[in-house]
Amino acid sequence: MMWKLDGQELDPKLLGSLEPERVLFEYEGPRSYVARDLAGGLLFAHQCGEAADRWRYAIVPFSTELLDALESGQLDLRSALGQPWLWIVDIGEKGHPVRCVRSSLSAIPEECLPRPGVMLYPDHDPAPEIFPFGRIEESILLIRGRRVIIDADLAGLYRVATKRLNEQVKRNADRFPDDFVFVLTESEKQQVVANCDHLHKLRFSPNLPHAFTEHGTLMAANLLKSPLAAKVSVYVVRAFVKLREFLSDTDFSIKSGDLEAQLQDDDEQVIALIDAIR
Amino acid sequence: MSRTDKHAFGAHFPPNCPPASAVECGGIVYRLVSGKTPTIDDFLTHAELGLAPRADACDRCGLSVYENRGDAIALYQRVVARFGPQGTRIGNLVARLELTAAHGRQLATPNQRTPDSHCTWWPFADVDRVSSFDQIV
Repeated sequence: MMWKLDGQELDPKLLGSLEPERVLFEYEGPRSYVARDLAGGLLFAHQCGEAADRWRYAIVPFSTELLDALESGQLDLRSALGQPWLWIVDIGEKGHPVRCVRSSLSAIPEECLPRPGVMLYPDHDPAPEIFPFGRIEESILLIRGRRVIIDADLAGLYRVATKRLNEQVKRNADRFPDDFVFVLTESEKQQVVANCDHLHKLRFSPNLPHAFTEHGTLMAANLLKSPLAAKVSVYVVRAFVKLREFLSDTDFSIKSGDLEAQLQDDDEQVIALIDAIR
Repeated sequence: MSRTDKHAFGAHFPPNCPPASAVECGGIVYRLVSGKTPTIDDFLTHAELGLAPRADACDRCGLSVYENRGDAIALYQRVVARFGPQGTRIGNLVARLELTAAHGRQLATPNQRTPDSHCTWWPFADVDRVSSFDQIV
């Protein structure tokens, strides 16, 4: 589909030849690739339209850090395209840019964009149905008497950058009351780093992490507007519920065990009742 | 069947294309097509369509097929997820093709990152490509 282009027309040569420096995703031709502009700056090109005589790309200025994040599965394609500058460029039959328009991500029809949460490489896409339950369960920590998931873990589950997740919290502060999300103190952060090996990178972060309660994880999934996050959030909630049920059962066994110990031998009926409840 | 004058490749094929490692076509393969009754439009190469000028010249003369139906479906899902349902022109039906030596040559060209049963089929110039169509599966 080639939708009608609106925006400031620019000289197609402005961005250089757009010859792929490295192809990132190929399917009968380069669909995602990086190129260099005339000044040697990095550009990320992602196909967003195709006609009989031309291919259309969304092109954004990029950096090696963003490229690393994209290739390592830390940054999804949609977020990668969400740069302050974006150009739509049509590449003609001879492989040369034939039209260039200054545009924005929101101007691209939804049906021509990557799904939110989808990664560059298929092997980075999470498949919720094969998520090991334990992975989510292990991410749930008990802090301030509440069961929470740290932002870095939640972002990983939802396949978005932690920064993007926290941006949503900041922009929608009214939707995240204290029982949905809270910011750890420095000492809480140190405890988390010390006790959770997989969160050791937080040690180097200048920011204090957010902790999401069960409600907060759901709200975040809704705000991300990502089908993937919505799907994964179901598994996250199930993990919270399962953990709650497990702890509840454990609490009952401990309490009933204490009670049992206090009972006299002649309280057989009460003991039988406890056994039945178990 | 050897490469004869009768079964020659198109004049637009670059030298040494298909590669020497390509073998005679044979067997069942799967390809994404756009309609329940595929037409020649579903079997045109990028070279014939004038598309993907920056792709490998020999790859452009071939057609993507899969030995495994599931891989064809996975490709569709992968592309649509990354480029949107309208961002690329990709068929949304899986056609089963029965290739014979008369259809050309083929070579396993699996995806480098996630190895699959992708093959490239280089059809002979004179072959009726649609005749390879068996059924939509």
